Amino acid sequence: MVKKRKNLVWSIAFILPALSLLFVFLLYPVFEAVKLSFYKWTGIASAKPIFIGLENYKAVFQSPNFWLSMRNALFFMIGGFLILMPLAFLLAKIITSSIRGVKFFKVSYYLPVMLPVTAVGLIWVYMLQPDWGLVNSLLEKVGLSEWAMNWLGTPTLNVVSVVLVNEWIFAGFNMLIFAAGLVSIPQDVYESAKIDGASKFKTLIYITLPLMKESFKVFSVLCICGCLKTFDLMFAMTGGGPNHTSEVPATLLYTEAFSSKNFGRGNAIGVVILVLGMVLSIGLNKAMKSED
Amino acid sequence: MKKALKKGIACTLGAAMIFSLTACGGSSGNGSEKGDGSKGENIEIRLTSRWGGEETLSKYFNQKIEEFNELDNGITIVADNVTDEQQYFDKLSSQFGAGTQPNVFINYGGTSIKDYIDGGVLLDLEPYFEEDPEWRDSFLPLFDNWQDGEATYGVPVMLYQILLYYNTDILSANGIEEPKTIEELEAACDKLVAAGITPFQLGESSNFRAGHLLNNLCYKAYGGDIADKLASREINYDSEEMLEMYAKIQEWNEKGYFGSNPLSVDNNGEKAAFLSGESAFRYDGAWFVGEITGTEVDGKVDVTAFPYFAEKEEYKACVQGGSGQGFSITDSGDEAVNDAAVEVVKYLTSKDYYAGLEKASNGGIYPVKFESDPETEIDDMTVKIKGIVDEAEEFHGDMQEIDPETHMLNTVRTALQGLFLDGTPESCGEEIVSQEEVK
Repeated sequence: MVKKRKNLVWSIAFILPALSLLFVFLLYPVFEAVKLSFYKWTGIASAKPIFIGLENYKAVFQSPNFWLSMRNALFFMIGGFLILMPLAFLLAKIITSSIRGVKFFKVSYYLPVMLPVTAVGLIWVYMLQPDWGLVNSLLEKVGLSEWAMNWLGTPTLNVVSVVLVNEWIFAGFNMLIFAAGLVSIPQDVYESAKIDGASKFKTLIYITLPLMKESFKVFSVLCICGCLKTFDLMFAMTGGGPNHTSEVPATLLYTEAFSSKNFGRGNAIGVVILVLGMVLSIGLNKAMKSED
Repeated sequence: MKKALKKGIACTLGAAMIFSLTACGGSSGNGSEKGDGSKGENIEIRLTSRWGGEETLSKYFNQKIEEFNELDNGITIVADNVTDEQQYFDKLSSQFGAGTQPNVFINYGGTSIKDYIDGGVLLDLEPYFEEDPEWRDSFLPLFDNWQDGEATYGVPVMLYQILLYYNTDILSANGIEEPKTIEELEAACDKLVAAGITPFQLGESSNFRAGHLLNNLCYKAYGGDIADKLASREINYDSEEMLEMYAKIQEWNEKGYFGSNPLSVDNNGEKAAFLSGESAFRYDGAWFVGEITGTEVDGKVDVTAFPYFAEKEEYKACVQGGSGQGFSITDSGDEAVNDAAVEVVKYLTSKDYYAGLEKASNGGIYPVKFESDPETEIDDMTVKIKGIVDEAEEFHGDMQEIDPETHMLNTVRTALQGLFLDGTPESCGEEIVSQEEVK
């Protein structure tokens, strides 16, 4: 009994640092954000917040900009599943294969991840500049001048442009998730399939993909959460503009809080992102578990 | 023994993590980190401004800060300059939210500091004026934007007027005279567009550009009262009067006056286009004179007042301008730190400071009365600007500066961007009005 209690004390001592970090840097700010979302506050530390109940949530759900930002976040998710996932999987297949120069491919695919997102965003802003940017200049040089567009100044196209840059940056990171899944599949399974005469396509469909289910699960959760809270790239490339057309929930949060000094409403948007992210992640986990 | 050692190490590491966390929090205040001043230690004054660029004003300002720090008078200025307007104000908001606001900061006064005044974070300068009336009297009477009742929460540091700069080479090559009225400006722009020249390369990616244009058009069309009427909602942003102005901006854009892609060009890009001779016009403050020196268009630029509507000559002298920016001081709660912050502001608004700035800029217009340095060579353009400013009768800032809602400046500017997309004047007005809380 004494030993059991002693073990319990030690266990608590071991998890206390991690719990303290979790509480101070995650739970407490979340609690404060939820609390502030029911108040009107101008964002001045000494100014007293005024309790206004659900008014901030009402304003958020009635705001066309909020729904526009949700639509734009959906674009990120669609891009994530339709472009990023196949691309990252393809890159993972390449770097786990035995082709020559695989080390070079590994480094070059991962390179965009190592660069600061804001810096990459600004580089792309210049490349996509409509009058003298590299993209339009190249299109004009190859005789496709009618394809040259105002990439970041045209509604919807600006979101699609940022989504594509986002896929370019994060393909390398997600490649690692799929590569880890690929290398964990035992070789003898492939050998058995080969003996049974399975084609490469069938091996992919019936062996590789099912055995990589966990990798796809990890990717899906990260993708959904990442898309809901995406901020830095959009902020660096468009700032949510022009005229809110490329707003995503996090840039809208920022605009409400810092530009309009409406911190209560900004926090309400933050809470909506948090709840939505949790619901979608739990739902996805359950859906994938039920299939098991 | 080994097990006990492992446990000991684990506990020590755990304790270190927890203690390091306690070190992260606890201290508050507004950042005068080095000592409290009352013990005779060096006082650090954090000063934020937008003057971090390469133009004369920024260089001079930062050079004077260096000189101040070399005085070794127990006060050190730590300057934090953010040149981009939007980023500057966003950073300031986050600092005030976290309680880490600077001791001294540049602002536009009016609504932009209303929340700070209500929050009780700004220092009333009236007691300091009473102590040193000479300092107060050295300023031109431009305190309105920083006054609230009997209190004064800032001092003006800039006197400005939005003017129209033009490239004389481009205009004379196309047989265009200096435009005095809006109608003449439109005729000039039409001629330039027909000749394949960009009249203005508007940098509307920085959304204040169309905001400033709207201010000027409104003042010239309806006089200075328009700002008060908008603030009281007597005339709202979806009124016929305002729709007419939005339509004018949209019409100019559609006619090509603002270049091919104004939403993809920021204010710096707009400046670069004008200073490299690619565009013919630019409206900007009087300070822009200092940025022309040494560029490709040096000697090829002239300036005039922002044009007026020919049929509204009565509003010709109503301009966007005045005490555009000022220094405010945050109340640190420590008298020694507050006194040090006032010292810094006094230094940066002294007669010597402005005499030196005038010399460095070869002219300029300033909010402080001072005697010019005898060696100052005032350029012709500055002489002309002084004449233009003298002709102005009413100075008004951004129309939203006196609005009861702080967010309106940003709301109006963002909505105006819609005019450069597929928005209509009506949708622009509706967008602004939908975000008003004070009806």
